Formats: sequence, structure tokens, C-alpha cells
Amino acid sequence: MNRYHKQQLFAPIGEAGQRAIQHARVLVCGCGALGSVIADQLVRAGVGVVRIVDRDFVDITNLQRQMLFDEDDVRQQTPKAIAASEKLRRVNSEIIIEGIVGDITSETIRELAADVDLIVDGTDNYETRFLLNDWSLEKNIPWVHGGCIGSYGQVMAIVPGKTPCYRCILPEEPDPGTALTCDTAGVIAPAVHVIGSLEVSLALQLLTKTFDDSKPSIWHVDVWRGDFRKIDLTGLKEAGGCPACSGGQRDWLHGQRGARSAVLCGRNAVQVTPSSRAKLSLEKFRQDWQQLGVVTSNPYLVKLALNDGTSVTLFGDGRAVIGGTEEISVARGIYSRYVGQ
Amino acid sequence: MITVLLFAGARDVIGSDRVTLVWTEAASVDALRARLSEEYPVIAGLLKSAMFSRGTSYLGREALVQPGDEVGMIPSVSGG
Ligand SMILES: [Zn+2]
Repeated sequence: MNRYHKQQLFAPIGEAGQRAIQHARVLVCGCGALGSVIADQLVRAGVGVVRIVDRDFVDITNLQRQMLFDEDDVRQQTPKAIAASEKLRRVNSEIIIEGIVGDITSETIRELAADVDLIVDGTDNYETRFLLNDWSLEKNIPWVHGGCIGSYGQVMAIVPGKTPCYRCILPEEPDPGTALTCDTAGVIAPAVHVIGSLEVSLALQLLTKTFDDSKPSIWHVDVWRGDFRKIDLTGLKEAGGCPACSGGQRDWLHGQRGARSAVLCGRNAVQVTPSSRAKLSLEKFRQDWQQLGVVTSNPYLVKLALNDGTSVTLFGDGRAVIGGTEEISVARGIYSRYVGQ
Repeated sequence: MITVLLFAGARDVIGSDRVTLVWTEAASVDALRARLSEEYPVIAGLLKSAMFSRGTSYLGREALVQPGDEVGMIPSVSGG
């Protein structure tokens, strides 16, 4: 019996659906809590190519809910995309699993998403989602949005031309500090697993062409109170007027919107991205930094822990995660001091 | 009167699952958003990115809320 036997027995998938899944290429954007659940299920389902992209490395506070990581990953500061792809190759060696350490930006998305049939949202911020939405509309490929916080979350499939898009439900990026973040509201594992699973359910429907796009909707779920609410978005689709899917604006894709620095949710850290993409010699920084503080490294990054409690974790693409601050200006100062312009 | 059912962060911040507002004539969702911001400044930030529903249907910005309606306010969620 083949490894997908039980999944094929499920009538809406069947043998034809299973073949479609095995021929599909899917991009998992972000591999934190949601991304772990999503990548795990897509790999087990047999998706032909699963590309996992994440910009961060494993931290001790991730283990409470990010199911693909363990304490070894924390000790070795393994990038999440690497830890996840290595683990998942042991789960399914018959498919292609690509782990890519990097940020999804208006520049990188052109390579990262060029050849995929579907994008699934494992990100933790609005900006990347608006970018995914622009890409989806521009290239006419579907994506599945999911987000969660505390005990609740939301899930929605976006099929260009058929359903409302992400910007239909959220016309403008919320001002910093106005939306809840997991820094203040926390997040529990059950919420992550339910939302991630609902995303994969929609993903499998899209891949097997069984998704019903005539009834667009968004799920709102509160796993603590057991509240599952499906909001019918038909009215929204009919109203039109969306700057992205009706108006054709691609503000994030064309780089008119989007910052070079991002506060990382729940990490007391800021990611700083250089103004042009770089290819750095991590070995050089490893040596240069020896006098400045405690230096640790692995093949993907070098970390400098400074005496004042801040730290610089530098990746080969020139990005750095500045730990110990949530002030973008402070982080940028640290970046230019230790990494350069 | 109208009743606004609060979900997710809005319920947590206000500490109740609903609020009622005096509502004498039909007015838009945008007007409701402004009114809630005024009376509950603590959720003003969340309101900007919240969606509204009546029953199981989405209410657009210009949709009219009638006296006696029960509408839901659902803040957007961005973690992951
Ligand atoms: Zn739209």
C-alpha cells in the first residue's frame, strides 16, 4: 500500500487529487508557528515541491508552539528554514523540500515565487502579506492567508479574479502599535495548530481543484472559547473598489511600500536589511568580531553578543537580526557600526 | 439601540463580549467605526483594521446599520 493510501481514500481527494498534489509546487512563506504546521502537513501530504522560506533562526521561546524545532536547534541557532527542511526530509524523502534562509521582499519574491502553483501564509506581519497579495494578483496564482494571536486566528483562501483579496478585507496596513501583537497578547499552540491546519485544508482543496470559489469566506476562530465563525464575503466581492484587485495597484510588489527594517514579533529584536542585496563573507565577520564580544556561528550565520545585552546575528545575504532592542533607529545604528552600510 | 458583539482583541481590551450604542437611524459601518472610536478610545487602533459582520455576512464600509441590529466587530490578526 502506498504512503498516501488513507489520504486517497478520502473521496474529495481520491487518486486524481493525489496525483495533483504530487505534481504541485508550493511556497510556504515563513516557518515559525504557522509555517511549521503548514510545512509538516504539506510534506506528509506529498506535495511535489515544498519550498520553505524563513528569515529567522530558532529561539528558546519558539519551542512552546513551533512544532518542527527542538533544543538542539536553539543551541545551534539553526535557521528555521534549515531546521524545518532537514527534519521534514526524514519524514518524506520522495518529494523535493527546499529550505531557503532569507526574507521575502519585493526583490526576492520574483525568484522565490516564480514557479509555484500556490503560496501558503506562515508569516507574522502585515507587510509580507500585502506583498504576497500583490504577487498573487499580478501572477494570477492563489494564496491561502492565515494569521493568529492569543487563542484566535483567521483563515481565507484568495483566488485572483474569483474571491476578494487580502486588501479587500484590509485596505490599509494598520499603523504600528494599533493591532495586537503576540508580544503583548501572547499566542497558544492550539490556536496555531488549528489555524495552520485550516490553511492546509484550503491549500489541498485548491491543489485538487475542489475549492468552491463561488462562496468566498473568511474563518474567524477562537480555540479557547470554541467559537468558529465563517463570514460570507460575497457582499465584499460585489462591492468592488479595492485598490489592489479592482484598481490594479501593486504598491508592495513595486517596492513603493515596505520598510527595510522590521521589528520581529515577540523577539525583542529588529531585522535590518541592507539597501542592496549583498553576499557577505561570514568567516571574515567571525574573525573581525572576536575582540568585540562573544562570537558564535554556524554555516548560515554569525552572532556577536555584546556586553550591553544587544546582539548582532548576521546572515550571508547581508541581513542582520539585532537583538535586545525594538527600536528601529537603535538597531540601524548597531548595524552600521558592526556590519557597515 | 444596536448591539456590537466584540471578538478577539476587542473583547479582551474592553473586557466584555458586547457593547450597546444608542442608534436612532440607519448609518454606515464607517459611522459606526467612528462612533465606537469616540466612545471606546481604547479600541480606536483595533477599529481601523477591524471588519464588521451582521449574522454571517460581511458588512462593507458603506453598508447601513439599522436600529436594532446586532453586528460583530472582528479585529484583524497578524501573528503567525
Ligand atoms: Zn481586493
